[in-house]
Parts: sequence; structure tokens; C-alpha cells
Amino acid sequence: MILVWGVPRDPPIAAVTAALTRLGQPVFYFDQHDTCAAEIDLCVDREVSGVLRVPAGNIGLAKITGAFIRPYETSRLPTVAGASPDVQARGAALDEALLCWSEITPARVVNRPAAMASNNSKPYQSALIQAQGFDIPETLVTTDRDALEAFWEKHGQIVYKSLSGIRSIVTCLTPSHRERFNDLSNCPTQFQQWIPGSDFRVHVAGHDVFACQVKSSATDYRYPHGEEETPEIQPCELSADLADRCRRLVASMSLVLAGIDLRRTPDGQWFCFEVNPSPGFTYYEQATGQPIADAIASILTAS
Amino acid sequence: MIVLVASAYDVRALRIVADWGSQSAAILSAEDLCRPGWVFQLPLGSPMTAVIGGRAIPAEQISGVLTLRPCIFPEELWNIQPAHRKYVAAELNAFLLAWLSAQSCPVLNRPTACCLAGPNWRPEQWSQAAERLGIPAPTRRHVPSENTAPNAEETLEVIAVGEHCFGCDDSILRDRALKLAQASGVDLLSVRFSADRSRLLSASVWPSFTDPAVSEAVRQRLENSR
Repeated sequence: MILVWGVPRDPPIAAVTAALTRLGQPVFYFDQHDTCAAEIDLCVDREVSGVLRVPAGNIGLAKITGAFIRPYETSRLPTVAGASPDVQARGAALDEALLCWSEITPARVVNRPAAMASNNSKPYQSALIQAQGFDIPETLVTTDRDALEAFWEKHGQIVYKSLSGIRSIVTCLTPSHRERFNDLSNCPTQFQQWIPGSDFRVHVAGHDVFACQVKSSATDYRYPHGEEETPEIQPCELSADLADRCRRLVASMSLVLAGIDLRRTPDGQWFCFEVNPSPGFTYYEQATGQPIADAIASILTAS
Repeated sequence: MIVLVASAYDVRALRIVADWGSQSAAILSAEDLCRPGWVFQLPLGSPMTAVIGGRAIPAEQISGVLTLRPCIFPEELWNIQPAHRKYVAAELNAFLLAWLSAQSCPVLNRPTACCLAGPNWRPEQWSQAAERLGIPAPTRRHVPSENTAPNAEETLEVIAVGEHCFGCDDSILRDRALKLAQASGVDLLSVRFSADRSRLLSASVWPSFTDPAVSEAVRQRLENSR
């Protein structure tokens, strides 16, 4: 039995559920909107066992052989946000118990929560990326305006972005930002050399690698300003060596599914910006026709 | 210098600094992270500066780091506007994780992506690790929670610091504590067993420092690295 845990309208959840159905696989769907009505009994000794009870039915945790998990913050779901503190606490406790199960179950989990956590610190993840042989942009994290001025002068063109996964939008630094440099001391801020070149998104799902080129004039193509910056996405092939490096990078982070952001410079150097452990792959799948959801379903049902 | 990553109001951290001497140990607080002077660069190898106890110091002056907190909480950032505290806390935690991971000196405990002070394991994860080592440690969790009385069971505690153990002097329990520390990848671990020595009850990466021998063992591990 495959557990799918998330919100029905989330496109990756819907795509993987549909792919599993096409394979004829039985799916136990845990709609996150039912969190506050659910119960879980989790037992650990030499085995991991217990029961998950939701309005649609019950399932023995030991019977789950694969799990695709994309839970949102339960407290922000409409069915929970307006509930009493007791109900909200129960929802949080259930999330916590199921996340715990996701870490220790022998089932194939896409992806285990602890493995996904590296994405919450971009510079931490960058160091992991570099250790796997990818180039990374020179990066400065600072609260010191003199250090920033020196870094800017060295590289000519630089960008800034958040260190965590919150408000993670890449923005070019311009002279008008100087009036905010005194604010630097309030919080360490991350700056990176600007890397010119072409953007690529690579999805790794187990052994399968799906690459596409993203053409956009935007600094951060995920947030285009106007129609002229709307990204154009085309499928492409990576060299065998680069595809292998992507597989190794994802495996080194104990992930089985990831979206890797690469940029190829005009002289052929590959920089890696980020490994997204919970990629919104359907956006790229719809543009390219690449069967990413099918590949994920195959991972979940592999014997 | 030994750096203690802790709240500026953490009584335990303040006591450790007093014991070790303010010339050789200082607290890196959340307030320090919001002061001018921090310089951290990737790829690693460039000069770096940290702000510890209000003073900017070169990274090479740090001999060791003791982390006494899992993360920085938004609620403690009283000097940040309330609307921005959650974001700033996430940024500070992201930075501290990268900074701690980049230290070449001893760090107790080395951070993981989930926690600044090692694996942020839940009781069930400690149970699973213990059971795999042949240490009985059954656990059960039910949601919604059942009303149960607080566990007042008498316990035996072993504190592992590197390859040394303190607390209960039972050799079997000490061996089990060291194996659990090794399995979880930490150098500093408090492990509690049932009084009849039959079961693991809990484990924590934040042991008590009330035993002077524990404090001294940690200090030596962090001070003599360079």
C-alpha cells in the first residue's frame, strides 16, 4: 500500500496519485484537511508498527511500503486555522507523529523529512553541493557594510537572497540599495557573485534524470516581471557525466527526488545554485511532457 | 577561545563561562548575530570573522564550540519588529547552521540540518537506534494523547563525553551509552536507563553540567584542539 499525504489540490500530489492509479497500485490517501479528525498509534521496538485512522478508513503502518509526503503547515489550512487551540494542538501532534514515522519506517519515503532539511540553509547546502564537485557562486554572508562593499567591488555584479527558505527571491544589488546598508547589522545577509549563462532545471527521481532549459530574461525566472520575462521551458539532454553528478549529488543528501537548479556559463562551466527536495515538478512536466510523476510512482512501488 | 552558542540569559551557559573563565570562554547569543562584524565566505578558505560576546574576533581564535540550544526562537528576538521575527529567526538559524558546519575546530555536538546541536531525534528515533544495538527501548505514541501520569520512574544516567563516561559507573550501561553516542554521531550525550538496567528510557544531547567532571571533560575537549 502506498501512502499519499498532502492536500488534494497540490499539483504534485494529484500527479503522483494519478500515476499510482495508472499503475494499478492501491493508494491510501491522507487528505491533510482531515488532520484534526485523524488518530495515530505509533509503536517502536524491533519493528515500527501502529495504525493511522482517518475518516476515510484505517491502515496498519507496517503495511505501508511507500509514502509520498508533501504536507503543508497544518495550522495554516483553513480547516485548522480557525479551530480552537486544543484542535490545533491535536493537529500539530498528529503531524509530528506522522513525520516521526516518516523518518523511521522501512517503507520508501519520498523524501524523508530530515533529508529535506538542508534546503532551509542555502549556504549550508551550498557547501554540500560543492563537496559533490559542482561549482558554486562565491558567497558572502555578512553584517558588515565594508565587507559588502569590498565583495561588490571584487565581483562587479552581485545578487542577494535569503539564507533560509523564506522570501527566497534572487535580486540584483544596485547603487540604490546603499541607503539600506546600515540595516545589514540587523541580520546577516547573503550576497553572491552574479553568474552569467543559461538556466537549467534537472529533476532526479531515483535513477531517472529529467533536464530542461529555462529561457528567461528575469533575474529569478520563478518570479517574472511582465510577459517578456515569462520563462520558456524546453526539454534537453545532459551529458552522461553531468547526469551522474546530479544523481550522486541527490543521493549524497539521502534524497530520492529533487529539483536541481544549474546554470551553464558561456564558457561551459556548470554552477549549481540549489537542490530543492520538494520540487513543484508538475510546472516543468506540463511544459516538457517529461514523465516525472510516473518516475516517482515507480520509485514508490519498486520491489 | 571556547564559544558557547546559547541564549545570553541561559543560566547554565553563564555558569559554565564563570567556571571556565571569561578570558577563555564566551557566549555567542542571538544578539551577537545582529551586530556588525560578521564575515562568512564560500567557498571556504577565505578569512572569516565572528562576533562573540559583542566582540569581533577572527575565526582562527576559536578553539572549540559548545552548542546549548536547538535553534533560535522568534520570540527571543525582542529587538526585531514582531512582524519580522519569524523570518529573522529562520535567517539566523540558517546562518548559524552554515557557520557551525564550517568550523574546523571541535564542535559539541556537530550540527545537523535539523538542529544546531546534533540530531534532533525524537524518542522513537532513539528507541530505534537503541533497539538496533540490542538495547531494549520500546516506545508508544498515541494521538490524540492519552492522559497518563508523569513518569516518576527512578533512572540511572550515563553522560558520554567523547570516549569518556560519567555518572552511573555500571560498565554495561556505559558501553551502551558510548555505542548510542557513536550510532547517533555525537560526542556529547546523556542517556537514561531504567533503574533495573533493562531498558533505555531517554537520550539527550544536552546533558547537565552540574558534575564538575563533565564540565572539565568538555572544556578539555574544546580547549586543547589547536
